[in-house]
Amino acid sequence: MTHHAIEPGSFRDRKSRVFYHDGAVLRGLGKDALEAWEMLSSAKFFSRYMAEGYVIPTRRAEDLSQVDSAITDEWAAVLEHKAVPFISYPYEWCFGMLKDAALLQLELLLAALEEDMILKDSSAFNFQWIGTKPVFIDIPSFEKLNEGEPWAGYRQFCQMFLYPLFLQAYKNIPFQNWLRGNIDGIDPEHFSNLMSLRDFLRPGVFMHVYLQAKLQAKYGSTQADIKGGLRRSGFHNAMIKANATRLQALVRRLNWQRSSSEWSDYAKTHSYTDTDFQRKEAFVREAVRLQRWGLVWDLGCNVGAFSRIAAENADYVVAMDADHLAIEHLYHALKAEGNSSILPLVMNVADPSPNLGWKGTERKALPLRGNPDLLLCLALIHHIVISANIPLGDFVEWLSSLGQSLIIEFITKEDRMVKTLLRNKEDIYRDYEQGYFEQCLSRAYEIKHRERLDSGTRFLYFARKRT
Amino acid sequence: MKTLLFCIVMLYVSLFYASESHAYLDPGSGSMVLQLLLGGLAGLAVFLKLFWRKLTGLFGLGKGKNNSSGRDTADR
Repeated sequence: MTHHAIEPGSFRDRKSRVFYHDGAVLRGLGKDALEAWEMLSSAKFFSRYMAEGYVIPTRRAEDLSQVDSAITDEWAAVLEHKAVPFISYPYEWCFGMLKDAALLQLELLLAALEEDMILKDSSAFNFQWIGTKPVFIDIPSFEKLNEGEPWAGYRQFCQMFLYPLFLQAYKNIPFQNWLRGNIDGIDPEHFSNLMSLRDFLRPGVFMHVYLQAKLQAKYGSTQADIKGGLRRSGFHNAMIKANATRLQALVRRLNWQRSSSEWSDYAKTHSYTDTDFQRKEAFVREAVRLQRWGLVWDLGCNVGAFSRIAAENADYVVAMDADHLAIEHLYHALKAEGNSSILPLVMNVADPSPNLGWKGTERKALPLRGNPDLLLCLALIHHIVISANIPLGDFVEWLSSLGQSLIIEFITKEDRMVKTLLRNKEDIYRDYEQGYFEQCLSRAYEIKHRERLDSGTRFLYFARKRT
Repeated sequence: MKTLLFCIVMLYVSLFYASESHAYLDPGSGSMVLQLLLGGLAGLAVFLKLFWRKLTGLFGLGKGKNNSSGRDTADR
């Protein structure tokens, strides 16, 4: 009996539908979508970007004999997409990642326009990542260009890409929480209200923020056929090209201004002696070498030192940290190396991404996106229990629900790092105690290796889940 | 050139600054009109062509009185 599952989040495009079959990612195309696909698959830019890895490898599915005929009968054609190793969403990306996805969006739009096609929408959810490479996945977004029509995706580009980037670059406010709170992105009128007089002089603000907000308000209840009016007046795709080209230049110049001194402190704040740090690296490396790992999650990865060690013997590593500055730096370092096996993400383990969207199925909560074989939880648990005030037993149980094996570090209350957290606080954390920690760990796991670092306040554990 | 564009647009926009937001009905049309202004010189030319009567009406020039300011149909 063949098994297929319809992707519940794939309903917005009425002309196609994503479904999964035996691990493969398939897409049913309606008649219109099939016509667009036929045009797309013969376009030069499409093969070029696919070959370079910026568009998800896609082809017409050949052998449909195993697929339920209920599916194949419903659609005019079926495409097969390469699967992405780990799904992520724009509210988990750092500034650099959103910027690079925005640039790819504009580049693909311009390339399509050259061959009489257009990217009809500009959702940031049309992009995924393979390592540090952005990949466009929403193939049916490519449609035949209708001459005289404006670019329908422009407003969405502003809401999902431009305004979040402006928020960080111009106001030094992280965009991730806003995007998580509103999956359609930032509304032009709301963003316009944030702009000060000084901001109006910044590149792109007057045109793309202020005017858009004003015109959105002005035309919000219009009965007029604006689209038809524009076409009759001679709207031309050269105008889309002009806009997209200037947007490219604008986005390229956007940078997250951050003090470099902030960053240089990172290397120092790990506060380990050199010997201790080397010993920790060796411990992690020994555990990583025990077997080949498929998927590894590094929770609280900070600068990614241990994600890199895990990647030495793993297919894919997802490096997560709540500190988006750390992720930004990790992203740029990995990007410079052309790394394709580590995905950096902004993620607060104490408040990880939840189910979002219609029926809570459009965007998936973190635990639903993968089954890691190995979890790294180094220098994290004191933040979870003491800063985030989450019971230690609960946290260890949560870890055990995620993955099979675990490398975890326990730092005692005698340690300087923990003392800093407890300063000016009443110590209500009775559960934060090594004996109790080992007890909780032993409930779900078998502790295989245990090591005490020289400082005497830091302990490393490698554990495997009990079968 | 940029200053001229700025002035024209500010005049037009300030006419309607008091509009309430009805974005929930149709948030897309405003962005379509904006694309004319973002579309280089060709786009600006079309924008002026479409909204010339509105703009000249501000100064009491042109063929007749402007219609009520609530009207927002693009001129043909």
